[in-house]
Amino acid sequence: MSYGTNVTYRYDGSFNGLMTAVYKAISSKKMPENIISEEDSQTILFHEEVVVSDEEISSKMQKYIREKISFDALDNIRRCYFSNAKEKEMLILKYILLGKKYGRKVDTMLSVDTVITMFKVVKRFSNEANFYREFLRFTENEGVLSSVIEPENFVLPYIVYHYEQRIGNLDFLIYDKTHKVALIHKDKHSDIVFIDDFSLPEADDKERFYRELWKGYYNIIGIKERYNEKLRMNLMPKKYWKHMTEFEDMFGNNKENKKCLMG
Amino acid sequence: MELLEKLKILGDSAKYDAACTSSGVDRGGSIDGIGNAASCGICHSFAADGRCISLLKVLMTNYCLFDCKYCINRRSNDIERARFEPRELAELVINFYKRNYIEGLFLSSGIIKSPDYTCEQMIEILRILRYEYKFNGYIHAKAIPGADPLLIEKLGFLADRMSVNIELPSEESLNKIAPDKSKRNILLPMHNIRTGIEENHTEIVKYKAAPKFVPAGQSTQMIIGATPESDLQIITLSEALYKKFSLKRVFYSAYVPVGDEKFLPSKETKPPLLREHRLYQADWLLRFYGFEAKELLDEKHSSFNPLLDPKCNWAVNHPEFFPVEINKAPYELLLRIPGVGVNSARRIMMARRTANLNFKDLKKLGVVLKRAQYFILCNGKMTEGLKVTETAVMRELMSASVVKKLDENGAFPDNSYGTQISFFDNENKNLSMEDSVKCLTGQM
Repeated sequence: MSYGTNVTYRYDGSFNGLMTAVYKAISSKKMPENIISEEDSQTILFHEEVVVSDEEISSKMQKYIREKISFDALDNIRRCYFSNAKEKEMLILKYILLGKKYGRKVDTMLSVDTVITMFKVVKRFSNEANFYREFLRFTENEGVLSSVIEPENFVLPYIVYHYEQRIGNLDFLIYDKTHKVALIHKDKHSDIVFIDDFSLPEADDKERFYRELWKGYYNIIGIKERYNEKLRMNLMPKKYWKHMTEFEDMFGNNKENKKCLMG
Repeated sequence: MELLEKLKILGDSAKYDAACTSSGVDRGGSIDGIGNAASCGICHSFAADGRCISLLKVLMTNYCLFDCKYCINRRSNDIERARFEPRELAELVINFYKRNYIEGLFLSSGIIKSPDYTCEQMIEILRILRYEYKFNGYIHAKAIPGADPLLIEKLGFLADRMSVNIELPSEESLNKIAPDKSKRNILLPMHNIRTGIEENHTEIVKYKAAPKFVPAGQSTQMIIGATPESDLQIITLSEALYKKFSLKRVFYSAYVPVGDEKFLPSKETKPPLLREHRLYQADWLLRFYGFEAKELLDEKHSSFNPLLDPKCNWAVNHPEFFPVEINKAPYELLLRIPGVGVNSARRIMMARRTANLNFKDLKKLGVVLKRAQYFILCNGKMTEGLKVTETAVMRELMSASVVKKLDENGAFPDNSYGTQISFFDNENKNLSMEDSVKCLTGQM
């Protein structure tokens, strides 16, 4: 692969598009200056080349990664793609190039910058996905459970399976406010769809009842003699509190309480 | 009584139980039920004391026939009492579970009427959850000491994990403080559960669909600081429990005074949190780092060093093991280096297959070099320009909060590296500084 070419690939932002761009770089044996998605920059660069997403090439590329590198490598690449890491496209390309050279061994090469960076991006991503197994809260309204989350990474595809297993017999909706995408699970079938805006339905009496019970429980279960604010914050970063039932009074999600406060 | 009131009373009564894990069993969802279980366990929230909330931890009732002095629910204590109806509690669990507040139920209880009756009532709650609501989530149930083994067995087929709390680490203390309990009453159910699990394993091998008995294993808890047992006694007991009863976990709970009782610390006593922390650290060393209790403490040093964690303490007292060559040492030895954990040791094993590791690489792999640097070599060399003096080493090995405290008390002499430091002269002298310095400077 020769360096020093200053072409920048622009792809449509889809995974297939990215795989097509990677394929293009590898088959032309020229390292691009950068790979950017449509949303990255509006100005058209001088040495820009638009990559048209090609499903067939993409699946060929994925098959190559799975067979020549490893299944885990493909999983890493997907997670990296769904993450909010900076310049993730070039990271993915460099990682694939290393994999092409070293095969499945690439994931043991933790002293190589590209590999360790990939490793960290994937870890951050997986941690966040995990947080949304823990700290997500549902509101029940007319038989449907709904929830709003604000993740940094696009974790929805990675929590679908968990919630299908957990409450697959119920209808539920998880709205990702950051990416404006909703996971809708209805009649035992899940879909991920774009929705511009969504807010939780007003809590009815039954919902209020259980929220009050939960808050009551949450507040007595801590042992006063052991209070440790720092520990709590380390384990449950404050950015997650906003959508958690136990802190709703703190953030004024509880409209009734707000009214009370305002007199 | 309103449900909220009940929940507050029965949650409050259960909060001194440290176990709140939902780990150890992997189970997918079912076609018509609700719930699954993940073997890693899921914490759904953290309370103001920083402890994980994974399960709805409540007592079925806090009425109790027993009069254990350390317990807030003892018969003689004047507190408000309540009792859940089985159906009421089951419905609460399902509604909390649906909303993703909890992973399941942790059910314990005071003894009402008789141990057998209490156990039957608990079975009823679990039966409703498992069979009526088809609840597939996690259930941790307390075995009631003194209940019929057949009832305990029945409970075990409904629960994922069971526990019998030892509470007091010696028979003597038990007799003195918990007169209604006996060593036999505690160890017998523990023994039965272990036997049950073993028999069940062979059944599952034979018949795949055999019902599972306590699939996530059993655990126990000891109260720390209520009675005079030493750390050595406690950690030796833990080791025996892991080995003899194949326990999954031993929990330690710093004693929070619940009243002024004879034989017990006064109400003003603060819970010994640092001691509890050290015990957990040592417990980890037993379970994941290949340490034995006798390596960590002995008759002469029967309590943990408050200044150093047990692993660092062991390391500075065993210079003969160090320095360790990172690129060659076996896994077991890597685990013994301060600043190297299970994850980083595994990563080192993996990464060194393809490359020779240097200090910069180690940092990337997540090794805490600040601590590890004094104990390791990379390709025969120490970190360049590393100053090895006892003050410097101790500063790095102690936690930031300990260092801060010592600084405030002027325990670290300024710029006089290498001189004898006052705090090593106390009676609790666990580290031999001479040895550690010799080790660290490579004289040994």
